[in-house]
Parts: sequence; structure tokens; C-alpha cells
Amino acid sequence: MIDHDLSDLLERAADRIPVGPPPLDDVLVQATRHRRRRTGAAMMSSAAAVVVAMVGSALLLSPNSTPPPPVVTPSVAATQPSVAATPPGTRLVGLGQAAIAVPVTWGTNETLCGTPKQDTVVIDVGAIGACLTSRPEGIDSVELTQGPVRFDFAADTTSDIGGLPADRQATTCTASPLEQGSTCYGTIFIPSLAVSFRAESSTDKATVDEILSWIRILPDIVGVPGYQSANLQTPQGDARDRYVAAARAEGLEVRVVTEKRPAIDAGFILDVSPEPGTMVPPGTEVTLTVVAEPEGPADEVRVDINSVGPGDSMDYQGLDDDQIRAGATIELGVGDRIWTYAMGKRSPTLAGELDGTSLTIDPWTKGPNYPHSWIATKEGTTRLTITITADGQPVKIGVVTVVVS
Amino acid sequence: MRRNEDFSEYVASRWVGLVRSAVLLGCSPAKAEDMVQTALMRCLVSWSKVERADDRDAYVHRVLINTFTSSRRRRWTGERTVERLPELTSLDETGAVDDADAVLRSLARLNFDQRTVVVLRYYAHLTELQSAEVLGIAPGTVKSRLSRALALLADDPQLADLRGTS
Repeated sequence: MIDHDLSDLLERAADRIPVGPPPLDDVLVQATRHRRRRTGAAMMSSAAAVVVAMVGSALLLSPNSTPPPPVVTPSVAATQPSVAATPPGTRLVGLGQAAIAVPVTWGTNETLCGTPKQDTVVIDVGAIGACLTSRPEGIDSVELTQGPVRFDFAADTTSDIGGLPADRQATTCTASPLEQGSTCYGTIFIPSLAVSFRAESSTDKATVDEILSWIRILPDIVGVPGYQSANLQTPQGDARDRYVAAARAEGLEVRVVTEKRPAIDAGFILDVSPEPGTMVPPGTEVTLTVVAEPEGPADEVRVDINSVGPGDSMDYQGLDDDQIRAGATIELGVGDRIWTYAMGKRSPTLAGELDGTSLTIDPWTKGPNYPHSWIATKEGTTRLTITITADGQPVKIGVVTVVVS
Repeated sequence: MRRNEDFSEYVASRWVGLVRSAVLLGCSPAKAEDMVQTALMRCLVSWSKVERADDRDAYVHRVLINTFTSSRRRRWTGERTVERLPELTSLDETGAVDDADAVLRSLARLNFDQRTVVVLRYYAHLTELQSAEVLGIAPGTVKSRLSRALALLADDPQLADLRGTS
């Protein structure tokens, strides 16, 4: 049996194995729980641990002192009949025909490690890093989601917003495990639109109720859908089609533009404009930016360069794929180590060719990057040509200039 | 934010391959997704280490293999409760007679060590050196395990048939 045969057989067998979408949200929640168990209640001061949290979950609650609450009060009544006019000093953010009028001073996704740091709307966010941080006092936020309600949700009451039934989970407050104080939260879910609004406040309980009173139903305009969930389903290349279908279902037109992103599946969504949550009239054209179809083998691999000084200096510096393809220059000191690595198709064929004498191959043959790892042994300039091999032929990815001084 | 984007892109681009690797290692598809989910969770808790790793794929595969070997020692008890059930997937029932099934049955004839190096080398496309790093063994051991595994697979009539049709 030759290598090619076996790889081919395994690829064919693997292709027949159906795989569901990545349960990213669940992974993030698990990581956060794991972190919380590990850190315990006593280690509040260190913000060094890096873990992952779900956006907008506000799992780390804020300290509570007693500042004057920065209450902003758009005068929108929850049961007010739908009107297109936006109250002065507010902007509309929504999904489907459900929107909320938030103060114009509020940002969008102004979070750090998943925790709001300013008054903000949280909408259509993917995975983000998290750290031991806390929600500052007096911070108000609302998270919009479409589809199943996130968090534990149980309707305590049902009311009416703009003629649609709306399930309301009562506002509750949770003491912070980090410091004195609490964050209060409450949720409204509109079943007919499958849209939920979760308001959170480290100001006070009344602010949560006030935020939720800003929700309204606007039959004449519609929110630009988010795209993160489309990206997280498989096959990835169908994300574009999933988004286009969702946007058209809302009555929107979609214009698709493409960008090259090596090693990422064609059709993976990079951006949507206007930004998700923007309320627009039906028929509005939404611009969807997706990963382009590869034009050749070079587009199917992503290459990076990294380097580090002698010993455990941890002074990493590197070049990313764009910089490598643009022919960037990297400066090293004598004794530094530099290596290149790849993700995507044909990454095992990655190779580097030197034109110059300032680099020599790293003799660490057991290293994961051998033989495309080098040591800066003397001053000078070396040109490093990075290639992969496709169909037996070298394919140039980029030429990097390495200056050793 | 670059790190956040890296993480999202990494999970999005690697999920399918990792799950299929786990199936080729011997998991059922459902258990494979659980296994990869747990492995990714462990990676995310120490994502800074993953970022600093010279080779992310090798690092993540090491975590996956460790998760798998650990589960084999104590049976699989690593499932985590989640709020929503994942979308269920299953092998195509016609697979009992198709190529994929034949390959999986051939892999099942190998012992675990041999099967692992075959999957890492020929499906995950790690080099022998990377495989050695992942498994914490000498490159020579990888070579010898691969050699024995390939000899067994070469004698497998089912695979011989498949090679003839490829």
C-alpha cells in the first residue's frame, strides 16, 4: 500500500461520515464553567487567566457601589402601537420586525471578554475570549437573539407588544461572585418572531424593566439579520446560501461580494452591511461579503511565520498570511529562531528556500516545524521563499525578507 | 480581537475534520462529537497555550488524543450537559456495504496505537515528527507502528478491492 492510496481511502471514508454543526456555544459555556470551578471565589484580583465565555452572558458580575445611575430614558412605551418614527435621542436595533429603541449613546457589542464595559446593545456575536473581568457599576445592556432563547428562560407572564404576544421572564438580580453588588436581568421573548431581548443592568432592577419597555413591533421595517449562526452550521460553504435565504425571507435583497481568505471555505461569511440589527425597509439591498472561491492551490492554504528570541524570552514576533504574500520584511537578532507553519490543504508540503547566509536550518529535527524552521546565525539579509507542493509542482506563497542584525 | 477571530475561524474550519478523525480512531459519530467538544473546551480554557504553540493542529490533536485515551481507560464519561441537544447525525445505513464501512472495519483490525498513527499521518496529514510530538513517543516508534499498520492493511483484501476501484 502506498501513502497516497491510504490517504485517499481515509478521505473517502471520512467524507461519508456526517457531522453536525460545531456546538460552539456549548463549548464556550463549558469552558466558562470549567474556569469558574477552577478559579473559585477567592482569586479575584488576577486578570491573567484567559478563558472563553459566551458573548453577552455576563457570567462575571459586577461590583456594586452606589453611583448615580446613568439612566437614559427614551420615551417608548412597550404597548405603544407601532410607529416608524424613532424617539429623539434613540436609535432602533432589531431582528425581524421586533426592535428596541436604545439611546444613541449606547454602543454595539461594547464588551470585553464577553462582559459589557459600556452601555451597549449586544447582537450577532461569535466566540470571543474572556478573562477575569467584571461588569462595571452602572452599566446597562440588552442582547438581541433570533431563534431559541439563550440562557435559562421560563415565561412568568405573557403580555402584548404591538399586537403580538410577548413572554416575559421576571427581572431577577444575582449577587456577584467577585465582589459585593449584583447584576439584574430580565428577558422578553416574542414567540411569533422568535426574537428575544435580554436586558441586564448593574445599575438597578428598575433599569432592566425600563429597558424592556423600549421594545416595539414595527411592521413596515425589518432588522438586518445576523450572520454568525449561518457560519456555524455545516457545510461551511453553504453559509452564504443560508444567509441569503434568511435575508430574502425578511424581504431584503442581497448583493454578494467576495474576498480571498486562504484556507477558509468559500462561502464563509466575513461581513454584512448594513450591520446586523439595522432596521431598514423591505427591498433594501444588503451587502454580504464572503470568502471567494479559490483560484488555485495557493488560495487553499494559510501560512504564518513566527519567531522568538533565544531561551524563553517569549518575545514572539511574526508575519501573517497577508504580510507574507505581500513580501514583508521581518527583523531578527542573532540567535533568534524563525519558523513557518500552515493550515489548510497541502499544509504538510510546506517548504522554505533560503537565498542568503544569515539563516541556517534549525537542527531540532524533532521539532514540529522541521525542516521549515531556521536559526539566525549571523548578520545579513536572507530572502525566504515559501512554497507548497500541488500535483508535484511547487506553488509559491510568498517571499519574505529576513534581516538579521 | 485578532485572537477572537482566530479562534472562531479555527473552530469553524476544523470541527468537521476533528470529528471525522475521532470516528476514524474508533468513536461512533455521536461520541466523536462529544469527544471533540470536550477536547475543544480543554483547548479553549488554555487558548493562550494553543496560540503560542508552534503548530496549532498538532496541539489540538494532542488534546484530542489525550481525551480519547483517557476516555478509553475509564470508559467514556466525559459528556457534558448542555441546554440544547445537538443535531443528531448517523452513518448512512447503506454504509454496511460501502467503501467507508470497509475502511472503518479495516482500521478496526489495527490495535489502538497503530490505528492512531495511521489516522494522524494519513488523515490528519501530520508528519511523523508531528505525530511523535502529539503522541509523546519517539519518531522511530511512529515509523515502526506505521510500518506494522501498513503491512496489516496491505494484506486486507477489502482494502485491496477498494484500491482497485480508486
